[in-house]
Amino acid sequence: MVEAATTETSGGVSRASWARLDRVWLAVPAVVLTAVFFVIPILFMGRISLSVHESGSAYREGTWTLDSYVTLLTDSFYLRIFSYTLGVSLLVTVLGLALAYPIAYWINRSGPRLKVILLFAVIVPLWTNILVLIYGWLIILSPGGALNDGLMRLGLIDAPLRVVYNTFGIVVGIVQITLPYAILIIAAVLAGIDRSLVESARDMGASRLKAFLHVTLPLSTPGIASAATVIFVWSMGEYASPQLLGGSAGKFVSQEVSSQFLTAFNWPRGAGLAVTLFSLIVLILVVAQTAARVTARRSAA
Amino acid sequence: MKDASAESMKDRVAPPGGGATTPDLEVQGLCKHFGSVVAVDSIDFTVDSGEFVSILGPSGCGKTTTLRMVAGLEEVTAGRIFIRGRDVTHLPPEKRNTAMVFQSYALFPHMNVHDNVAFGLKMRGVAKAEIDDRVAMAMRRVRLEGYEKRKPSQLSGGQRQRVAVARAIIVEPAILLLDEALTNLDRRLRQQLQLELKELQVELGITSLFVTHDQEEALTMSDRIIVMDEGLIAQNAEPSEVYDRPASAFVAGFIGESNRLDGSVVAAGDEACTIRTDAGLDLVGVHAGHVGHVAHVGRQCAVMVRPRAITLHAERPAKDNVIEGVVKLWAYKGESYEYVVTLPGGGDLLVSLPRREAVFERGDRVFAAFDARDVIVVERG
Ligand SMILES: Nc1ncnc2c1ncn2[C@@H]1O[C@H](COP(=O)(O)OP(=O)(O)OP(=O)(O)O)[C@@H](O)[C@H]1O
Ligand SMILES: [Mg+2]
Repeated sequence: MVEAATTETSGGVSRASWARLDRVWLAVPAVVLTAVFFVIPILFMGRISLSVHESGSAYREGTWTLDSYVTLLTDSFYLRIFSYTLGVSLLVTVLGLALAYPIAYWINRSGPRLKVILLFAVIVPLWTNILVLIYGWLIILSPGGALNDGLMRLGLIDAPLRVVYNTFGIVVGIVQITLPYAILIIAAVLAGIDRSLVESARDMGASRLKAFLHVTLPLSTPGIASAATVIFVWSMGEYASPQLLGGSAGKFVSQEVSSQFLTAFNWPRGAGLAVTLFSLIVLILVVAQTAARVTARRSAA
Repeated sequence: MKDASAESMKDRVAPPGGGATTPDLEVQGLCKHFGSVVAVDSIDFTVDSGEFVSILGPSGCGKTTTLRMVAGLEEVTAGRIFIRGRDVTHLPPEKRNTAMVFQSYALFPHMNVHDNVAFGLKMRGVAKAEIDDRVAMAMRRVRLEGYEKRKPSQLSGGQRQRVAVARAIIVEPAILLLDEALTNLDRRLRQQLQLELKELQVELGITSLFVTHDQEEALTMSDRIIVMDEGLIAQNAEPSEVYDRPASAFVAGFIGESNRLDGSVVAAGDEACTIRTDAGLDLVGVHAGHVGHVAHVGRQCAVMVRPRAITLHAERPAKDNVIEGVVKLWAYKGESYEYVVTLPGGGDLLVSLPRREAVFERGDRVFAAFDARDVIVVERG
């Protein structure tokens, strides 16, 4: 919506488009908000990342250099941070989808009363502060926490399982945070699929499973794609989960951004990390979308 | 078999199985309740091999529910369904060998026309080469050659309908089920596709159960019509019989126009019976079809007369039934003239004259006449 509005205003105002101009005004608050809170800070970041770092102060104003990018793209320390963030995010995306899809499917198939209850259960975590959710997981997963305590009492394990302060903990945290969004997105797309399509497939001789594979699943790919995007983008930028549930296995980019800004006081490098992360996300989304479009066209032909 | 009435069918037991006389579809005591709503209330009927049977009835009478139970898309509350003698009551839809054409067509939007039509064969594990041959043949049958690569969204309503029909007939189902399959099309296209569909059905000898609420469509296309009302079968007979000898006032009113006069039987002989209307007119009807079982003296009944069965005269004619009235208004209807005649004692009579045989004007005193055999006597209700 914002995109459309900006292209219209930049297209110039002819007499015939006066009527349209009225509508364009409606987009102004959204455009202003986006500019003030997203575009301008990112431009600032971009500018800072191209400045010279000066020990003692954050950066030297008015200077130009590519130093921070050279370091980020050559130093294996940073490359490892990027690959860890990317790897965990891909894992989180796959696991998140694997959990969200069956739940969304179940919600969509439920009767009206159960549906309300299930949707409510999905939405409740969205009302809860993320830190509260994460501390909740700490209580459950920590070595002396509820999970290990329970398993030990049952005699199923002798020593506590390492399920937090490692990659597993991060994955649990991010999957939990993004799951409600993924479920809601997929459930909405599933609800939009005409029931008679599945019935028709069954009538034409497809078993329940085949009808799902040939009709429901392909028709829900837009939902899967949107949910995957939300989970992936969220995970790539996630800070709280790796900070509180992660351990020595690796660091997320956002954690390093924070320490560059607040501890090392190297603003150009911190800003460079942020801009690189942002560019990486955009690049991956564009590549994924293009790949999806190409395969869709090939399968249609 | 074709003219077996609903009554005699009720008495039949489970089909013998395998014999040449086994109907393609037999439904026994079929019921469907949705909570407290009784959608279908214990119905029985059969569809013979190659027969085209329509289920006709007003909105909400249970037509779609019946069809969906036959297809296996709806659990039955009670009753049994046999397809070619096999009890399929509790089989899932994919094991029934039915093929349904949905009102919305339900074409798979992500597949092109070829893949849509091929779907049933693919699910049955037919080899690719044979699928391609049969798809090509089905596409020829519905006159859609050259559209194989299109997506359903790139087709017109009529073309989509044809794809839906092609997709259904290609699997050579035991019974073809059509739910208001032509309702979403405009009138002209609908009439054309009615003829095409009927032609295809006869050519392939495909057993069909067709749901519609359009009485004209049912009369044109069917070998037999099952008229439903509030979950029950009101009549199960050939189109001409449903039209000429409706089983009830409901059927007479639903199929074609008719005049209704309420009254009671005052005399019942071997050949004819006399009904006195509530307005005090004596009408003579003959014993035929459904007159019989209501023609007991003193019995309340309704007399139905089709507008086309009535003639108008300036002088009292020599006919079985003559009613004197006054022309209230008339209208030109293209093929015919329609008159509304006010009867003594109140009530109007609708009369349809094929051409303007005699010129009557508003306020003219006329004699409306009709034969005893055109009088349909049915139970009130
Ligand atoms: N899934 C359902 N849940 C509850 N009631 C239903 C359901 N499906 C149908 N009914 C009810 O059952 C009755 C019969 O419905 P059905 O769809 O069979 O009617 P129909 O004869 O096909 O009508 P139409 O000509 O409008 O399509 C209606 O009263 C309807 O409201
Ligand atoms: Mg219906």
